Formats: sequence, C-alpha cells, structure tokens
Amino acid sequence: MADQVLTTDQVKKALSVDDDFDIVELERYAKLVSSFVKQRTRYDCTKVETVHPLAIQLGELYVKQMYYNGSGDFNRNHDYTIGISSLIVDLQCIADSIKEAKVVDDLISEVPTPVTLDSAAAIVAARTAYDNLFEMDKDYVTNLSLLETYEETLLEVS
Amino acid sequence: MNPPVNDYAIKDTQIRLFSLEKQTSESGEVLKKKYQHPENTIIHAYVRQLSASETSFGNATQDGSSYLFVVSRRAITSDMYIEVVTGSLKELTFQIDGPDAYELRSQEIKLYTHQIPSVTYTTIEYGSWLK
Repeated sequence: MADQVLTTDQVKKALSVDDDFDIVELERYAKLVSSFVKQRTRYDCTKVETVHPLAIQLGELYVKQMYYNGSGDFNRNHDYTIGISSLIVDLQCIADSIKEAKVVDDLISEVPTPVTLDSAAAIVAARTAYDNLFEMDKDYVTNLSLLETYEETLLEVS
Repeated sequence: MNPPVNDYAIKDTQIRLFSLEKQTSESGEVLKKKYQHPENTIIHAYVRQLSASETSFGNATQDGSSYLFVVSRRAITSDMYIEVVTGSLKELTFQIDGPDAYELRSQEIKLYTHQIPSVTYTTIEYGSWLK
C-alpha cells in the first residue's frame, strides 16, 4: 500500500530543486499533499496499491502552488488554481468509483465457501451488484475473477 | 513598488558548476576542474539569452554578458564556470561575469555569463554542495 500521494523524490522533481534542498521541508510538503488530497477528494492513497496518476498530478500542482506562492506573494507565472480545482473534481469521481467498487468487493468476499447451492443467493447478489455498477466503476473491482470462479463452481454443483 | 522577491523562475535546465584551479605537479602546472557539488549531481537552472537592449546596455558599460542563469541561492563567485547538461545549450561552457544578488530576500541568485570555448583540464575533483 502507498504511504503518501507523493514521495519526497517526486516532490523534489516537481519543484526542480537541487539535491541539497532541505529534506525536512520536502517531507513536510509530502505530508501536506497527502492530507490535502484526502481531505478535498476523499481519495485515500493508503488503501490502494498504486497511487492514481491523477492524484499524483494533483499533488504536483498543489506542491508547486505551496512552494511558489507560499510566502504570500502571488506569482502570475505560478497560478495553478484552475488545474487544482478541475483535478479535485476528477479525483472525487475516482474516489466515489473506488467506494462503489469496494461494496461489490465486500459482497464477493462474503460469499460462503466452499461454494454449494446455499451460496447461490450471495453469488447472485454479488453479480447483480456488479452489473448495476457504472462502466467506469467496474474497473476498480478487484475480486471479479473470484466471482467468476464461484459462478463456474456453482454451475458444476447445481 | 517593491520588486517581487519570490517570483521563482522555472528551472528546467540542468547545469554543472565548476572552477578551475592551477596545480603544480611533476610535469609542471596543470589545471584541475573542481565541481562545486558532489559527483552525479546537477544544479537546476533557468536560462535565457539577454535581450538586445540588455546587451547594448552591457556593451556600454563594457560588460560582455550574453546569457542569464538563475539558480537557487549559493555562494557563487565570478571565477566560476557553468557547464550546461540539458537543453538547447547542451555541452556549452559559460564563464560567470557576475552574480547578481539584488533581491536579498529572494532564495535565488542571477548569474550573468558569456560563452567560452570548452576548457581543457588534467584532473577532475568533486566538492560538496556550495552553500
């Protein structure tokens, strides 16, 4: 599982700072990025294997916004407001998709095993829940192959 | 009106910073190229060519600078050289005419430079980060 949206190396690269830049400051930026993304988009990077590219992109824009405008001076060359706000909306959709997919994943993992005729109701419920998802939500279901295995087993048993 | 102090430039060019030192060896005097940062590291910089008016002003004051580099603030002196690693000025060498630390609160330093032929040297040494 990923600890943070951006690693300190990614922060360093986003800001184009040299290797002797204060590591404590880089870690502070990395923590702030993670909490900002989680708070504004409900996207929790600690619950996913790899951080979504849009989350990384949002993190990079936010860290630049903090670094370049942090002293209170507005820099017209470093205005990332529109990028940040549009990425927040996109990432909120992804966070919602992950949440919906988690429900289906839980239903699949709650199917009683070994599969017998008694498991049929749970398997049908999981399949119905999966079919009712939006297409983009289905990409985030991780246990689909398990569900398909259960269905095959059920056909053999019945 | 106060000038902007933290209007950071986008440092998308990688450079190396070095100075040349004369060393006496058995074979006579040799030149040592001493990098002002550790091995396998680079310095991020913003670079641009000076405008015609800037160059004309420089010529009038007998300053032959032609390129401006902006790097994070370091104790850079005018006896140092810049070697460009990436970008359209790749592999070119520049001599620093003068560091410009005009905005004292800024965390950047401007370096006015002019291009020179690549330097010949006998040995290379890597130093620590120039603070």
